[in-house]
Amino acid sequence: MPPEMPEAQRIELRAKLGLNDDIATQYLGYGEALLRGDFGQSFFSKRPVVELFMERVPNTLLLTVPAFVLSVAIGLCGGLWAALRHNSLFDRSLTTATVVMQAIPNFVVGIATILIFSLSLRLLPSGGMGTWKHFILPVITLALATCANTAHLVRTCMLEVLAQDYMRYARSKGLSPAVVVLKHGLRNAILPVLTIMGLQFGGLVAGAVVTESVFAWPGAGRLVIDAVMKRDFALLQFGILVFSAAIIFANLLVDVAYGLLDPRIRER
Amino acid sequence: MSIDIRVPEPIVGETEDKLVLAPPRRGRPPAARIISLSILFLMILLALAAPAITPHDISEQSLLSRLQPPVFAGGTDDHPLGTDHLGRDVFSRLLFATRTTLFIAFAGVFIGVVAGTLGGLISGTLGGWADQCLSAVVDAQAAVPTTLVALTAVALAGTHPLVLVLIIGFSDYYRYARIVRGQVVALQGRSFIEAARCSGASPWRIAMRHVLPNTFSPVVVLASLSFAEIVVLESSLSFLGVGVQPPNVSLGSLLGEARNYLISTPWLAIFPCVVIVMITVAAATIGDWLRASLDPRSRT
Repeated sequence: MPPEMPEAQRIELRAKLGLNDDIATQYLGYGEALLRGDFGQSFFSKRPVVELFMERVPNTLLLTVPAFVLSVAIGLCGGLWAALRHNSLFDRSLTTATVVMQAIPNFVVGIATILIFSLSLRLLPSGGMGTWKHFILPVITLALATCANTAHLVRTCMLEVLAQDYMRYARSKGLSPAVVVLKHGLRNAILPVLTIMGLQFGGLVAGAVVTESVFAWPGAGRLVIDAVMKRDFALLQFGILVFSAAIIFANLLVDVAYGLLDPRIRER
Repeated sequence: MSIDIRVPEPIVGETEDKLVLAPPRRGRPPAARIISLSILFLMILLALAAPAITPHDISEQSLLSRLQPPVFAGGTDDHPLGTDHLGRDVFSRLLFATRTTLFIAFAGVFIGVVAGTLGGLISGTLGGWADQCLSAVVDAQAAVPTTLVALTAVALAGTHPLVLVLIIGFSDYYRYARIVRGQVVALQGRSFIEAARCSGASPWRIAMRHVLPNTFSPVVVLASLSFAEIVVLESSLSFLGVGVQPPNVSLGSLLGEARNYLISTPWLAIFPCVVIVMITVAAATIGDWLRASLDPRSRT
C-alpha cells in the first residue's frame, strides 16, 4: 500500500484482503481456497494466477525440456567416453572442465554467449522468442549448467563399475564391447546418476529463472521474478507451489525409473 | 545451481584417525592451485583496500563523461576502466562490488558453517525425536532449489543487506548439518568416545571436545567448495535485482545494470563477468584440491 493512500481506502483494502483476521485464520482460509481449486488473483493485473501461469509455462517447458535432453546426452556420452579412456587427455580435460563449469554462474555463460554469438559474430538473436534461432543460446546456456556435473558423475560411477568382476566375465564370454559397456556397464552405473538427475531438475528450474531473465524469454521464471519485485504474493505463492510440485514430480519419475531399470527394486 | 558436491564420507572403520596429505595428483598441475590462491589473495587484498585506492566515489555521477571506453580502448587515465551510463567510474565500482560480494560470501559461509555444525551436533548427540525433527527440516530444505528459497525469503523479508546475508548464510547450512550429524553418529561406537564416556565426560563435553574436532576436515572441504556457490547465489540474486540494492554494488548488480548496454558498451558487462569467474573458479579449484588432499577416499 502506498503511504499517501487515504485512510478510508486503506481500511477497505485491509478488510477485502482479510488482513484484519489473525494469521491462523488467514492461513486456513488460504488452505481451504487451495482445496477448492481457487489459487487467488494477481494483486496487480487482477487476473487469476492460474491463467497467468498457464500462459507462460509452455514457454518454460520449451526451454527446459530440450536443455535437459541436451544436458543428459552430453553428460552421458562425455562421462562414458572419459571413463572408457581413463587418464587420457579427454578424461583429464573433462575433470578440469567440470570444476570450472560448476563454478561459472548461469548468467555469466548467458551474457558471454550473447557477447560472442550475437554481438561479435552476429549469428544468433540475443533474446526474445520467435524462430528456431532464438532457442539455441538459452537452451545451450541452461544445458551447460548441468551437463558438466552429469558427465563427472557418469564418469565416476562408470569407473567403479568397469572394475567389477562381472564386467571382465562379460567381456571374456565374448560379448561385443558395445553390449558389455552399455548393457552390463551403463545399466549398473546409471542408478546414482538418476538420483542426481532428479535433484538437478531443481537446479534446472532455478537456472531457468535466471536464463529467462538473461534472454528476455517470456516464461514462468520471469513471472516469478516480477512477482518478487512487485511483492505480488498471490502470484509468488502459486509460482513456488508449481515449481515445488514439478520438483516432487520429477523425483517421483526418478523413483519409477529405478524400478524399470533395476529388477531388484521392482521385486520388493 | 544446486550443484552436487561430493561430500567426503565420514572417515571411520578401516581408515586411520590422522588424515594424511595426498601425494600430488596427476592431471591438475600445482600451477593451477598457486594461481588460484594468488587470485583469491589478490581479490581479498583489493577488496580490503578498496576505500583507499578507488579514484572516485562509487556514486559520483558526471553525465558529461558517460559511457567512456576503458583506457586501452582510447579512454582517459582519469577513468582506467571507463564510465557507466551515469558517468560513474567503473574501476571504483568494480572494486567496491568485489568487496561487497566477498564480504557477503565470507559472512554467508561463516553463518552456514556455524549453524550447520551446531545443528548437526545437536541432532546427532540428542538423537530421538529432536534428531528426527531437525533431519526433517534439513531434508525438506535440501529438496527445494536454493535460488527459489532465497527469492521467497527476499519477497517476504525485503532486501535489507543484513537480511540478504542471513538468507544466503542459511541457504546451505543443511549440508554441514548433514555431514556433521553423519560424522557424530558414525563416531559414537569408536573406542576413544567410549573411553571418554567411561571416564565420566558428559555428552556435551564429548560432543564439543571429542566429536567436534573430528568433523573439522569435511566441514573445511565443504566450506571451501560452497564458497564459490555462495558467490554465484549472491550474484544471481543481485543480477535479478532482488539482492544487493543501490547505492551498494555487487558484482551481480553491476552485471545486471550492464546488461542494458551490451550493444553499445560491452566492456561494462565483461569486467564483472571476468571478476566473478576468476573468484569462483579459483575458489572451486582450491576446494577441489582440499577435497583431494583431506579426503583419502576421493583419490582416483
